[in-house]
Amino acid sequence: MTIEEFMKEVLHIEEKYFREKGNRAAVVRKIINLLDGVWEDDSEKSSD
Amino acid sequence: MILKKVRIENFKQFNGAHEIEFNADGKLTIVYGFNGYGKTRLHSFFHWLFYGQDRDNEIIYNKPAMKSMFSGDEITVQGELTFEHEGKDHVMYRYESFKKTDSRAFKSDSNFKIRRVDQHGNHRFVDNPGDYIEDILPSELSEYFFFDGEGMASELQGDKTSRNHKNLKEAVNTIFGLKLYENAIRDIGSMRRKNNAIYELSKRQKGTRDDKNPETLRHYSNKKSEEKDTIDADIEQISSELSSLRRRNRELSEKIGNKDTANTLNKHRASLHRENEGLEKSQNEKIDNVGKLVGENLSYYIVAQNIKKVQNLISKKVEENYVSGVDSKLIKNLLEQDSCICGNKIGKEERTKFEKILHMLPPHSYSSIFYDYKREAEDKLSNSDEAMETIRNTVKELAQIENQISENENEIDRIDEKLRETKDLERFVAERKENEQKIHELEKKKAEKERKSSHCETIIKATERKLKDLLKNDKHNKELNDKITFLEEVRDSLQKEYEEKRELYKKELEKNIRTMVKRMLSARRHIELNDNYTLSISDSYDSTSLSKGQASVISFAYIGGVLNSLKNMDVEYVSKKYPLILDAPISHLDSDHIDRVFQHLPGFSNQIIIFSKENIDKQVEADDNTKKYVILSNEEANQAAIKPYASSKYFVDETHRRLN
Repeated sequence: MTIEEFMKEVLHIEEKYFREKGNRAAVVRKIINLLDGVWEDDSEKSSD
Repeated sequence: MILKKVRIENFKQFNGAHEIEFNADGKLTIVYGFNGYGKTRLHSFFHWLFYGQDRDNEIIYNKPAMKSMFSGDEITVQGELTFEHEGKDHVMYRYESFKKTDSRAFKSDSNFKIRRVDQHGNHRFVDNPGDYIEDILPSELSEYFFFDGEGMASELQGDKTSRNHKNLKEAVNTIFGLKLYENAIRDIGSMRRKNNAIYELSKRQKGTRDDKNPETLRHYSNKKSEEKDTIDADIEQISSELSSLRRRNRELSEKIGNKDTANTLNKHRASLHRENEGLEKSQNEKIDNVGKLVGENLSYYIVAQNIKKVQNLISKKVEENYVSGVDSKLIKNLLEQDSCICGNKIGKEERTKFEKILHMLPPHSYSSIFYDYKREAEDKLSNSDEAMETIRNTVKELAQIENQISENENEIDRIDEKLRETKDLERFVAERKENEQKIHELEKKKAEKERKSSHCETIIKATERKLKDLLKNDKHNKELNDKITFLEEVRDSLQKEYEEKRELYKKELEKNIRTMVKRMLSARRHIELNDNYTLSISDSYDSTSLSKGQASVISFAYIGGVLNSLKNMDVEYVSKKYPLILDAPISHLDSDHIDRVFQHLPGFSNQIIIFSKENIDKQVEADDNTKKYVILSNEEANQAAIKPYASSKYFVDETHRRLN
């Protein structure tokens, strides 16, 4: 995932949080999960 | 979102049920209400209905109704709003019930629901109505769309006492979708702050063999960051104090202007006094002199004038009777010889005539006697003429002196008036001096804080470098470092995009506000939009002062500018259709400005609901479709009702406003 794509994803998470008045800690967790997912995808690709 | 109809029941003084139907498509809905009748409370009812919170933290049920109830009885405050959103009809319903006990009432039940009508006319309740309404009209924006004009007017000029001050930046950023960027940047965060993604990732890093200090370093970095935050907050506070002191001093300087100080005025006053004393002295001397001259010469002067008159009379008489070339010797000779020059004998009649002529000739003639007298008197009289000329000149001089004295006295009066003003002026001068001293001290304090902040920044950066260096050789830590670096790049890109958008939106907003101000305000003002979205407003003399009316017009122009910007710009995440519910500050506006505001207001939004205590029938009379309501009130009984507007008698006759 490129930086631009990741940015868009983060903004979507923020938008959802903004609308739902969610918990900030949950937003932080979602960002980290997104990042971990990106890393896993990359490592899977590289191992392939 | 288009509002169609609202029902309000038992909310504060609105005992019982009341209904308002709204106009849309740019047509106005007006609710008239005198001061204290419940306009602002009706306005805040919308906020409660949408978000379940009373903006003023008041008891929301009707107190008199509660008072008349028995213990155990319940009263329900409710609101129902019918609206259209994205082509679908909705009904929003909120209620809160309060149960009376012996001593007080407490909330016993509450609910909030939204029903959506689909294309087949079926009603379905939406899940999470709170989220749904936040999605349509975020509560952060409510200050804007439930617009309190007076609060806005003071807030726009950076008045820190305004309750909405902090919200202005938040609201504008939310409207333009920038809040999402701010939140994203904050939530990706950095190692120096807690509660963000980078910090959480960095906590996963492990200590190395030779150094078990990553946690200590992080802790140190956080501590320094917190210290820096406190210092930066102080700097911001000082900067804000400095800017208000500077603004105040500009106002004071304008008031003081080039006016003379009391000292200068007193000097001028004293010199005028001295000049008048001198003039009065000279006046008295001249009057004495004139008196003396008059005493000595007036009798001669009068005599001289009479002599002149007599001389004229005699000369005239002589001219009438005197024959040229005839003298007394010739006449006597002819009379003695009794013969005329022609040789004829002198008759009786001729003799009488000759004798008459003889009496008129020297040395016994009247004129001869007069000339003798005149010659005798001439020496004395010549002096009196000269004296009279001196008297005439002196009298002229006295008149000039009198004028000068009177002018000086007027000038002294003017100075006294100015001196009365200078009491204020001196207060201003003293305040300005005191402010200058404060500014000097604050600048020193700010410079000191800035040094400290910069020192903290250096330490934080060095600590972060150390932390990265410490962990870079470990595989697990290296991956975390890579993730952190990636997040930092994402954050920096977001920051860059945020700043670009912010600059773009700010320029657009400033342009739109300027256009609106130009259209609505008769006086010319230069408008600059500050970074916190407050306005710097000045006229061609750099004066920043505004009348209440001008501030109100500018608050209308501001909201118009925001809404126009929203229409014109490609703003993501934010809906563009909002109703505008205005608690309108038009009481300070003159009729010209009311006309100007109402000429442009319908263009702000496709739905405008105005609460007004002023009669604006004239401004909207061309529009027959304006829906109008009035609030009737019985203030003693704390009761109010909403009724359709019947006539302008509401504004002139109390019986037409009173709720019985």
